[in-house]
Amino acid sequence: MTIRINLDVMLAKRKMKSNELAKFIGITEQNLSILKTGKAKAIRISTLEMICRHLECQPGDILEYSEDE
Amino acid sequence: MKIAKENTMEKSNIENISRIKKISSRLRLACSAIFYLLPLVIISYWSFYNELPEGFKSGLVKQYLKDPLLPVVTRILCIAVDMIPGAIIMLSTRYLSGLFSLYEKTVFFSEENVAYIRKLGNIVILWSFMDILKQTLLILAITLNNPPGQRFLAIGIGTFQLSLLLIGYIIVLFARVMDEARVMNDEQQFIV
Repeated sequence: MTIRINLDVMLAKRKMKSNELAKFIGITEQNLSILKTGKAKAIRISTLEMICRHLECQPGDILEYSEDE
Repeated sequence: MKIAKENTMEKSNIENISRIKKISSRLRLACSAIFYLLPLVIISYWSFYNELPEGFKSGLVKQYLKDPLLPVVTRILCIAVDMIPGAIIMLSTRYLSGLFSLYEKTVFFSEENVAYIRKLGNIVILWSFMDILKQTLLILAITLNNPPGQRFLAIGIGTFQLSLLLIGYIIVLFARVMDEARVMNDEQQFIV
C-alpha cells in the first residue's frame, strides 16, 4: 500500500528538466529530488498546485495510489 | 505585498539567527573561562583562607570552629571536598560549551543538542546531591582537628539543593520536549 510519485513520467512527457521545474515552482533541486525519489513525507498543497500549473496536469497525474509495495 | 512581507520575515529571521550566533559565541567563551577559572578560584580561596577579609570567610567555619585560622591539612581537605561540586560545575560548563557551539553552527534541533541538554539536566540533579555531600564532608574536614567529641558530621538539605533538583528535572523535561522538536524538524525536512 503506497503512494507512488510519477513526477519523472510527467517531466519526461513535458520534456522538462528537474532543475527547470524546481526553479519555476521555487523549491530547491534537493527538495524536488526528495519528492521524485518518494522520500517525501508530505507535500504542500501550494507545491502541488505549482507543479500542476507548470506541468499542465492534474494532481492525479503525479500522485498514484497502489495496493502493492 | 505578500513578497514584501516574506522578505521582511526573512530579514528578521536572518537577524535573529545572527543574534543567536553572537550570544552563543560569548556564552561559550564565558563557559570556557569558568571551566578554567573555577578550580583556580577554589584552590586560591582555601589556600589563602586565613588571609581573607572576614566577609569572604565561610559561614560553616565560623559556625563550627572557635579558632578561625585553618591549618594546611584542613585547607587541603577543603579544596578536595569543594572540588566535588566544582568538578560537576566544570563538566556542566563543558556541556554548555558544546551546546552553544552547536547554536553557533545554527544547529538547533539535532540529536547532539538533545543529548547535551539531557546530560546538563542529569548533571544538575547530581549537583544537588553532591552539594549535600559537600556540606557534610566540609563540616567533617573543618572539625577534623578538633579534639575527640567535638568533631561534627552533619547532613543538611536547604533551598539551594532543592532548587537545583527542581531545575535539573525541568532541564531533563526540556530535553524530552527538544527531542520531540527534533523529530518534528526531521520530518519537516521531508515536507516538500
